[in-house]
Amino acid sequence: MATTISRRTLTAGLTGTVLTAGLAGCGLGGGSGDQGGSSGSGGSGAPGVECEVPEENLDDSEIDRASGLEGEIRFATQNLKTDFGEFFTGLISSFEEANPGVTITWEDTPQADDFDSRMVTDAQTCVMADVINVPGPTIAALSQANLLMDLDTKAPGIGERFIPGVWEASVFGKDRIHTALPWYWSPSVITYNRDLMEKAGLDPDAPPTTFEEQYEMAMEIADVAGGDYFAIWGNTEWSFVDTWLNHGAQVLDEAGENFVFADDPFVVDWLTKLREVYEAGGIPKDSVTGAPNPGQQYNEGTLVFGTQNASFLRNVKNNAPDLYPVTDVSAPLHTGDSISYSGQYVAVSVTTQNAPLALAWADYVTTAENQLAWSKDPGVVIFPATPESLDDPFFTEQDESDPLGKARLVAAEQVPMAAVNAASFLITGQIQTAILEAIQLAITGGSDPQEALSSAQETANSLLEKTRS
Amino acid sequence: MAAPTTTAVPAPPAPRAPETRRARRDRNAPVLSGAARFRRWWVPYLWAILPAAAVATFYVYPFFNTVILSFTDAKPLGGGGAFVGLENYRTVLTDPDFHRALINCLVYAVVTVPLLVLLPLLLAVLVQKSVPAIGVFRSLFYVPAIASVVVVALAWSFLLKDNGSINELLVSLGVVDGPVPFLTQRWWLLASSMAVSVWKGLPYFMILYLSALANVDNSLHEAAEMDGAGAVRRFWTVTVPGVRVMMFLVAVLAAINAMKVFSEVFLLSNGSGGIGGRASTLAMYIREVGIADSTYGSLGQGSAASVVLFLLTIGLILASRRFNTQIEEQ
Repeated sequence: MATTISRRTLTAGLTGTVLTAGLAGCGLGGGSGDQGGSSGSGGSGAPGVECEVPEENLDDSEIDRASGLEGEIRFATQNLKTDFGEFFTGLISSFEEANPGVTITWEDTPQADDFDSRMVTDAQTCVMADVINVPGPTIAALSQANLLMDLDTKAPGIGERFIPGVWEASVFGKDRIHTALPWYWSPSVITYNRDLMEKAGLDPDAPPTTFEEQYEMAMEIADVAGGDYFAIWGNTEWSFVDTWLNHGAQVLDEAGENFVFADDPFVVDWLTKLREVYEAGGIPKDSVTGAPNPGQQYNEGTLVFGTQNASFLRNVKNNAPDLYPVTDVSAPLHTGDSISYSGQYVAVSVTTQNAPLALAWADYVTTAENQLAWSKDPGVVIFPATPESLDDPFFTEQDESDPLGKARLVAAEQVPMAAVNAASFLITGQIQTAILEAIQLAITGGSDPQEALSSAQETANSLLEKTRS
Repeated sequence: MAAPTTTAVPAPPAPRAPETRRARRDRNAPVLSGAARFRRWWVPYLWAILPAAAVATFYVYPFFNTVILSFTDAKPLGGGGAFVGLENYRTVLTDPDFHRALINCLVYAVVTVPLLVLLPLLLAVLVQKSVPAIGVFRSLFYVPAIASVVVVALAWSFLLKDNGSINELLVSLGVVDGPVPFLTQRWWLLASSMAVSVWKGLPYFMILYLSALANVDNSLHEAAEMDGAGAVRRFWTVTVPGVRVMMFLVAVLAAINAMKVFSEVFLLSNGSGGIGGRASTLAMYIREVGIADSTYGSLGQGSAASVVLFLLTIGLILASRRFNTQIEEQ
């Protein structure tokens, strides 16, 4: 006998299905911050999203990551698989062989631009990978939302192997706890086209060492080039914070609670001089809002100073082989005795259901030995965050005639000066946008440099205040 | 005495068993044939479950969730969520960046809507004629509509950049002294984005007009021609009235697209919205304050801006409808 379903039953079923499906998307509503998961006396506190968090991830006990490892975890990185797939596949295999019964599933997001939004979405929907590789600003955001594991409690002593100045300042969590392990980084360098320097009547063996010197050279280049080629790139997104910090500018007040960059004479002078270079024709006009990376224009042979990212030289080598031999490298522009560290970090999600394995993998990836092994990849100029690795002859015995080799030598000299500045992690999102828009307006003559900076500072401090309230 | 006439009284009908609900349903059911005779009444509802669930999940729930969020201080990475009344609306409506984005969208609508109502109609009239290989031309005209907006914007940015083909042509012809800031200055960037929107929207709306033109009675054109009306006169007195409903639909669609324009401006300006973000649109504003910034973003503020955008769009549609009704009445 056929079973019949009444209309009422069907209506109720449909309603239930629809409501269930509708509610399945919840999480965007934002929890109260006190909901979801357990809370413990130690650790980083309950996360800001409503996810199930194992009690042991939040209490004040240490996690044993040395024995009894088993199960599977996910490892999320940004834009590493294309160029370094072989290295990481080997790294994962060696870990799995050393720990039978464990599986590391590697998930790489090809476009770095999408990575932050993916992390946020994953965190909101409780599907964040167990171990994640993220830059400082994202780490800071995730830490403030209590989404990363408190390493001081769960893995005490794990930070002893890192550059002290970097580890001590990498405190992103509430109450200044460590929530991430420093990984790879690359000190800024100056890359430049020797031929264009000569063409402009400048000595290619005497590159600029400070912004003041670069400004003077840029004005000379603008005068000689007459628009045929340019001195520097106009989009400062990747460089302005490092340039300010490397020249000793005070970006945050002593308490670290308010931005004061608009009151710093160097910052105002820097912006005023960029405006002068722009007016003189030393900056491509549409580069002010162009791509952050000047690579394309540099590879066309119409830009004297290229990117500050030494790994970009690989791009020149592959895409502009004629320019590669005439590309030279020098130390980053600075006047102070420290170089801003803005590197990548590895963190463990507080929502992981396999904390021992996740911690063990994060630990393994960032050992001095493994950081050194990756740094030796011929296509990249990166440095370990572990001083023990830096003693390796690889960083001092390089072919100086090769731009990539020279970049390693030049960058290696900067490593001991590395220092983390909290400003680097606070200048992100809307604060970064506000400052960049002010810089764009000032450079192009749409606003007075001092007024533009003061306005951006006001916006930035108001946003900072909101996060505290 | 006549025998009394007796009339046969029909026997009262035997009491019928009460009609069941199923019998009544079967009696009222349409006559079906084939496989439909074996279909249960609830089968159509079964087919509707998935689409209904999809609509509820991806449209209805997010809509109401956005409205609710707009009254809270929710943040992208959780936390917050407390009721704050109209605070987010006050913040949005007093924010100069929002005002600028709103003006940009309104200017976008004022320029692109008339262009997208008229140009595709003219194009449709041109390609309506049955000439050899007209199908090929119609297909070619449609290519921009199916091209990815990312690819289109990238191609246009190469043409419009300072050392792009268009600027080099203008400079070499002596029309301008230096490159025109197509991709950086506020109004030039908006104009460039509008050009991309119109170029990409033309073929899509052309197809809509072609279907409408097919329903215009050709005898009206013949009669008008016999009365001595020229091509232009026939266009205004026969074609335009014949496709007026479609023109209204196109205007509404183009206005909605203009109010929520994002990709064209975002991609042409490398996500900056031009120098100082001056050409940013409402959708870019919502992204910036509500979604993209995991540290300082506010879902509440972004949601409030979304609701305002929704109300503005609905208001625009209602105003257009009223305007159209008034014209029809005249």
